[in-house]
Amino acid sequence: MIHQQPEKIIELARTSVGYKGKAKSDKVVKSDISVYALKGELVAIIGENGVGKSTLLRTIAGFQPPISGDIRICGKPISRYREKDLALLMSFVSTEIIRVSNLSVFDLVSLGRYPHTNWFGKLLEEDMNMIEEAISSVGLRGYENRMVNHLSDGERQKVMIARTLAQNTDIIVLDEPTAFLDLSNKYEIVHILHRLASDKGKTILFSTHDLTTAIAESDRLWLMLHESVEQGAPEDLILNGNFNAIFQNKNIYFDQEKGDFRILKQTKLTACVTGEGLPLNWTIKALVRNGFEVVDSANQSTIQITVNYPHWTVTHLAELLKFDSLLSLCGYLKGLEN
Amino acid sequence: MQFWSNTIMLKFFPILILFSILGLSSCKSGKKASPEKLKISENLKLRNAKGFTITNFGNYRKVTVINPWEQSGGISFDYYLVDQSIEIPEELKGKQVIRTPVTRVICLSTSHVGFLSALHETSSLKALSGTSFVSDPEVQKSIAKKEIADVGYDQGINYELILSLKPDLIIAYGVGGDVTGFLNKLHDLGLNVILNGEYLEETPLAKAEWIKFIGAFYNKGEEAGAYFSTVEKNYNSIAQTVGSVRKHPVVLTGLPYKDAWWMAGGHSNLAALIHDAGAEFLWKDNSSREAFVVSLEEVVIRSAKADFWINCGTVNTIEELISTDSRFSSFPQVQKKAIFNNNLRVGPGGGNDYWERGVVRPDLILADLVRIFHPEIDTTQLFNFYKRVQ
Amino acid sequence: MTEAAANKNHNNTRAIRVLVILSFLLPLFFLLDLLIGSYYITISEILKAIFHSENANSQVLLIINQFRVPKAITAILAGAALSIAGLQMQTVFRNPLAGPYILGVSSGASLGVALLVLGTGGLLGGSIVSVASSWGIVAAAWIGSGLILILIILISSRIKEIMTILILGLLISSAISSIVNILQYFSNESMLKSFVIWTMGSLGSVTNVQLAVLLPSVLIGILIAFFSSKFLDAFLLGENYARSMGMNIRFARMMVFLSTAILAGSITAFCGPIGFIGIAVPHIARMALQTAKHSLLVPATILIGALMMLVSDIISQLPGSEKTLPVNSVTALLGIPIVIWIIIRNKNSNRL
Repeated sequence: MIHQQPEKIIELARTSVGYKGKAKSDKVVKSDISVYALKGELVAIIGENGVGKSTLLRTIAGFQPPISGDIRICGKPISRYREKDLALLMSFVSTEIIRVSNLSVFDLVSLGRYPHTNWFGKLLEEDMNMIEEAISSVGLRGYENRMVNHLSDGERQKVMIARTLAQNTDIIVLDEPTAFLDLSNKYEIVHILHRLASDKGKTILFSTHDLTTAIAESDRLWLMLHESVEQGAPEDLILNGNFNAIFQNKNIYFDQEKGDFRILKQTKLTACVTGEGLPLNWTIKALVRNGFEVVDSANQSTIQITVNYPHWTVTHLAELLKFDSLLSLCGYLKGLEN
Repeated sequence: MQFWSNTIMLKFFPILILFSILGLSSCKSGKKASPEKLKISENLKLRNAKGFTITNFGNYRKVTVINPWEQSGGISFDYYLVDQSIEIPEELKGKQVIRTPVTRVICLSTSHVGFLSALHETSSLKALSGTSFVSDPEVQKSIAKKEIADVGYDQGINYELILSLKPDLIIAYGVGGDVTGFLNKLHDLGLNVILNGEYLEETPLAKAEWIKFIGAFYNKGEEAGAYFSTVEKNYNSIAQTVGSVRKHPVVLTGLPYKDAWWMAGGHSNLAALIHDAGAEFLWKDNSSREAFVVSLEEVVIRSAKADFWINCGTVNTIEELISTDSRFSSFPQVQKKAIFNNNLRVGPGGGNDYWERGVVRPDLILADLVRIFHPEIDTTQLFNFYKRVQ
Repeated sequence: MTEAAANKNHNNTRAIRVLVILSFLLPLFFLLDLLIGSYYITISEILKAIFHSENANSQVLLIINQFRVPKAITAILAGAALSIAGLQMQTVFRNPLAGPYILGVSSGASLGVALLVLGTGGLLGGSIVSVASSWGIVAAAWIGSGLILILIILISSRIKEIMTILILGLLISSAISSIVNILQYFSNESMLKSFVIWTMGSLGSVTNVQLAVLLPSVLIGILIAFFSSKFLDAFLLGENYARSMGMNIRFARMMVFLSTAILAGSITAFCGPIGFIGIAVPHIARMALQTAKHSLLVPATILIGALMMLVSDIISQLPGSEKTLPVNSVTALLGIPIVIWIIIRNKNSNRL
């Protein structure tokens, strides 16, 4: 069986990005980047604030030139594309909040047809169909005549994505598409992006702060660390320990088992907890939150807690107390520290 | 105009007698005359001008300028003229005293030059506002020899230059109340500045009579009086020649700025001249002294019946006239070539003698106008200030 | 047609309805403007003058053909041109208070005219010509604004950020105004008066001969604007998005600046600077049509601008009196309340 090399839709090879200044005063934000994205992949760029995610995205989208090296889109360096041709291949959603009055959802989405229409921008039947489909794909059917300014943040973001769908490009690049959105909207957006990648075969590249979603949904991650940019499946990067290097703050660590980031806390007191199931787990979480180290055996601690949901019993030295909620339990425990 | 001076005379006459008696008696007894008690031996008789009065107190003269700017509401300025040879009288302490005759003068308008020239005192001129606009040949020569400086206009006036010239007198004029600020500034510098309100007079003769005002500062009161009498006589005799004409040609004046035509007021000097020359000003019914705006359309309609068009800006030829607005070609005066402009004597710097010598010789202007409107009376066609626009 | 498309048409129908109403109002106000003036002329006389000129009274004919018709046409052209220029500037700079003069076109024109009328003032002597012919003034104004246009295009090709271009345009404007102030400072009264009257704007001094030049200029400017409708729509989202959708930013900017300079420059050259119309009218158009699409806004702005200017002209004629008002004051008094209203409205929600 012949194994075909999948096409590298976006490719960076030892590329540096940053801001070009005059006469050698270029500000390099990130250098020596070698990553790529294949057709039909959902790629997330993650990293600490200020590490250069936006700069990288904007350079890929063609808004600023790379400092050195190229960025190849479908094998051809960006600089060799004419604007119109690039627009047929790649569309972009930025973090900017668009405030234009009297602009309807339909009209905004129809702007996506820009590279496809004639000099006057006349919309033919094919264009109309694409626009309608785009609006339905993001779940905004029926919203065509609503003014964009009257939409909620989540709806507006969907409209911007619908515009890229109308633009009908193989590549969609998004800068923080889920920032400022609540969980439900976050989920919807990422779900739409996922479908576009898996069902429509589009290559989606987006940056995000939401590591949980990135891990859960992306095919590939570009991990922007301080010294380098690593790529791989989320699980690869977790297993090889790269995730720990994301944050420079020593107090944050990645829990490889649980799959999330934790903040190291100074523990002051210890407690031994007994119980079962979910109530046990959440009691332990509440104790950790209050700076307690949870130990296994009763010998290691002066505080014993028994979980018998919905009651808690605490034995401390000679005292025995009962609580009906974790809130009151924690309140008591806080008092112990003093 | 006659009426006003007559009234003064009528009202003041009894007081005059009374005060003369008192003054004379106090003089005899050796008592000192109190400041305003008059010992009038000779009061200046003004036939036309309303803007100033000159009162003679023997060892000094009091010149009063009344309402020297638009809407000044009765404000007046008193200037006390004391001859160089006498000591300044006690009673004049704290008042504005000017030593006569003045020998170093600064004029802030070229129209004042006309008076100086008529009095043969142009040599006293040390500076002007706008030296490039002067028409008098003597003055032009002095300017070329750098004997006369340019001190600038209004807000841009060069106070330091004025100070350095050590003038005896600065003749200024005010357009609005803000001139008091400027006057105070000059006073603070220790300079003598007087306001000339000649431009506010309603008739050309009243304007010309201000030669007596200027003359007072040169101790040339008699000469000025004689000069004016001659001018007045000339003017009146010319006016008489058209006194009995039957036909009064209708006259249009001015030129628009874009589509707003600033028309001379019905009581302006120009209107008076036109009337005295035996013609009818198109807007004679208007009652203001100042110019006012009329729409272009209105002028087009009314001027259809005008026989002449005079004082049309700075145009020299009909071509120039039409270049400012091509629609003038349909004006009957253009078609009949009945256009005369008062820019015959315009100097290289752009100064028009009409506004210089013309102020002190309105009889020459009147003669020109009679020549234009009634060629049958004066067929010489020798103009002083006007020329036909062709 | 699908439901969505039908819905979309609903939006457009409103816009089209408004456009139709405006197209009916225009000839009405045109006629009204012809009626108003110092001379009392009836409608039948006007119609006779236009259609059966042999039968009409010659004076009426003169007034109508040489004065009122060119003035009314100038009003339409001025209103349309300045409003379209303002619309483009507001879209490109994404600033609701932008107007046709924001690039400095009007300052350039006033510098040209100032040099002609005021000369170098008292600095070096009198003015260059003793009689400023009307064509001379037009040429001086055009040269002035043309130079500014070249400057702006040079700047625009070097500077990426559109906001920087806006600020530079404003600064250049101010600098030129200061130079004009210096010239005024050193001038005497009559020169000054001449210049100041020019700055008050006037529609009535444009003759038919001059219209033969003004009309095609304005048409060219409007045509370019119309062809730029697609660019302008893309500009609504900002230059970054426009670029990502395939627009050639340099070319688009140039088209828009060229059109604005031709429109604002031509009107300023013939009529002097006329303010506020260019800022207020695009907002009225957006509100009336409830759309941001330029293919609809451009015709609407033309019609509303023309109407507003006709109304301003009618008011400035002070019907029933011999006097007239300078047109600039009237457009300001009409336009300022609208601009104030825009500012108050924007405090609450949207921009542009």
